[in-house]
Amino acid sequence: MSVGLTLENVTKTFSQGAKSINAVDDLSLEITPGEFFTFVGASGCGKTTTLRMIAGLESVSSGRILFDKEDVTRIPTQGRDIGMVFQDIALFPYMSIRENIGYSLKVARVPKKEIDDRVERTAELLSISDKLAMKPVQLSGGQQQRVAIGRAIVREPKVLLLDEPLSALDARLRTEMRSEILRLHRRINSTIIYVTHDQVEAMTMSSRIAVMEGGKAVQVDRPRSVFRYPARESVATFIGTPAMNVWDASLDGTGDAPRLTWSGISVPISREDAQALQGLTKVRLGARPQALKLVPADEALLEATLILKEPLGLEDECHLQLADGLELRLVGRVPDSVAEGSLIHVDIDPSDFCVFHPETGAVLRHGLNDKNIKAS
Amino acid sequence: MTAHFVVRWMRFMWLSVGMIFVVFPLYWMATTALTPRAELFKPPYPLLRTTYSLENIIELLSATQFLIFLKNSLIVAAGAVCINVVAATLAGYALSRFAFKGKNLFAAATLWTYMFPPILLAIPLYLMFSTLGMRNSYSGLILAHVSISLPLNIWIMWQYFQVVPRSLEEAAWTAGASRFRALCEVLLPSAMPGIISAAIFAFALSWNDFAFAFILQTDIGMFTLPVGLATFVEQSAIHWGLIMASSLIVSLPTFALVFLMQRYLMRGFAIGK
Repeated sequence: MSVGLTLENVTKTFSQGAKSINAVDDLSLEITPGEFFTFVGASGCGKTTTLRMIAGLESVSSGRILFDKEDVTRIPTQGRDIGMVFQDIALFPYMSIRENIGYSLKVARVPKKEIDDRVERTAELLSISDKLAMKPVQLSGGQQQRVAIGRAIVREPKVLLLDEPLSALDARLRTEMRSEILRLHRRINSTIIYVTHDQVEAMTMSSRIAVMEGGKAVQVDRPRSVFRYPARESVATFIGTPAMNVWDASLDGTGDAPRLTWSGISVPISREDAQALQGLTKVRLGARPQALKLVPADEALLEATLILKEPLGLEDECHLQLADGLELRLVGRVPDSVAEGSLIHVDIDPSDFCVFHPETGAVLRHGLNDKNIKAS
Repeated sequence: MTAHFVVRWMRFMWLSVGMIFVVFPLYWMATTALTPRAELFKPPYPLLRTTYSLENIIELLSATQFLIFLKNSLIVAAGAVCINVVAATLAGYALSRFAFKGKNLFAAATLWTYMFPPILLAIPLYLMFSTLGMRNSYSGLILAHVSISLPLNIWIMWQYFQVVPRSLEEAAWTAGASRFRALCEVLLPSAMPGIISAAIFAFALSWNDFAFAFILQTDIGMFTLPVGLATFVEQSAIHWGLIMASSLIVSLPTFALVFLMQRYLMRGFAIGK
């Protein structure tokens, strides 16, 4: 039932007056059957356009889209056997919930009795059985979203497409629906393609994510790998909360004792590191807030003033300022005795650094001193 | 507080004066229609009458061609409404959903035609319909009325479809429904207030038209009500009782329509805001 998808050099060009813009630019990727695949990125990155091309709601300027081995590029939406949930939910306002969910079956001329059976089973799956006689306006936002999902899955489509389905809901409901959708995916086991601008949704729900930027997928990988081994500075700062600390550092002491220095701090690096950074005098250095550790003064890499402390519950999010003004974030357990304004000592394990190219933003090194480096 | 109060009352006063101008002629029409013939021209003319009779109405229905005029008016209005609803819906949908060459020109041109007074179009239409043999026909008069009401109705429907979210229609497509099916089952119910206001507008325009019917229909058997009414004004006598009785009957459907549909009508006209 569930299919795999292939996008081959898919491009979408919009023309605005004289100039044309590639909303999706030569995108190629494979989505395996049963996968929960997420396109994530800021608005205007081409993620929704990609989804709409998969749905057939947007024509493909060049390239091909395949469902398993079947080329569907020129097949209209109606012939693609997909289910889609829209950002604005888009329930049919003049139909009852029963009619909404059963609409695709009615269009497919499924016998009335069977429609009723399948609508009821779907409603049960989404715990909205008691709402079938109602109209969409009588339901809350979360219930409406369930109906929209029910309408999309009732005919067991080859692919289920979700376009920012949770953005219309409030924060609490969003978390709830997130796990609900995941549970649903485990149960119906169909291929799900999900679009969101919310990296938390992308991280928590997906088997794999594609981080989109300017119409290109800049990194396609499992969420944990994207978090641990970001391909670019922009990905590193986009994925993860709070954002990764990234700052300028210079590469000194070539030859036997290569070092990275910034703010009067100096970190020795290995030969291999230096080789990877060859030809550069400046780099962008990154470390996740979770990698910054509070340590005794004699073990510290750097010294900073705690300027703001935001309790997150078990941990705190701390804004630190170095002597030269550089600001860093730290997430960890900070004792109550350490107040705002006090001087604290912080260490960062060499394996937790990322080094990015100062101009292109591409990653040059995951981890320093040959520790925890991902084989590329 | 007091300023608010004063403003409110001034608004009421202003509306009341307006109401007198609108309501009094209607009241006078109804009273005259129901006054016995013998008392009609007998002074004094009291504001409130005590004796009423159906004399005028009975004569109107039995001794004049009123029923033929009524039938003609109904046929022409029904035809104009049908053509308007179908054409305005399809055109409005096309304008709101498709990008095509000359779209802006088309939209501007429809409004442009709406700016001509009917009488200006009536004479060229007379010449055209004479050539085509469409004078004294229902279809000719229906087309003439459509030419006046359709442009505005296309605009109304265009605006209406623009506020119906595209995702509604797209949801129907992903469910397998064809474009036409999605239009009928999903879009039209949402656009119903627009369709109803378009229908009312088309009806009212056709029902009240004098200029086209007067010029295009020369055979008394094809007269519509407004033109037929004018025949009650003769050189030697003006049959006020008949005129008012028929005016009363003519105004009833319009009242009924507006009264029943005003909710939709207001929504239809407010959509552009």
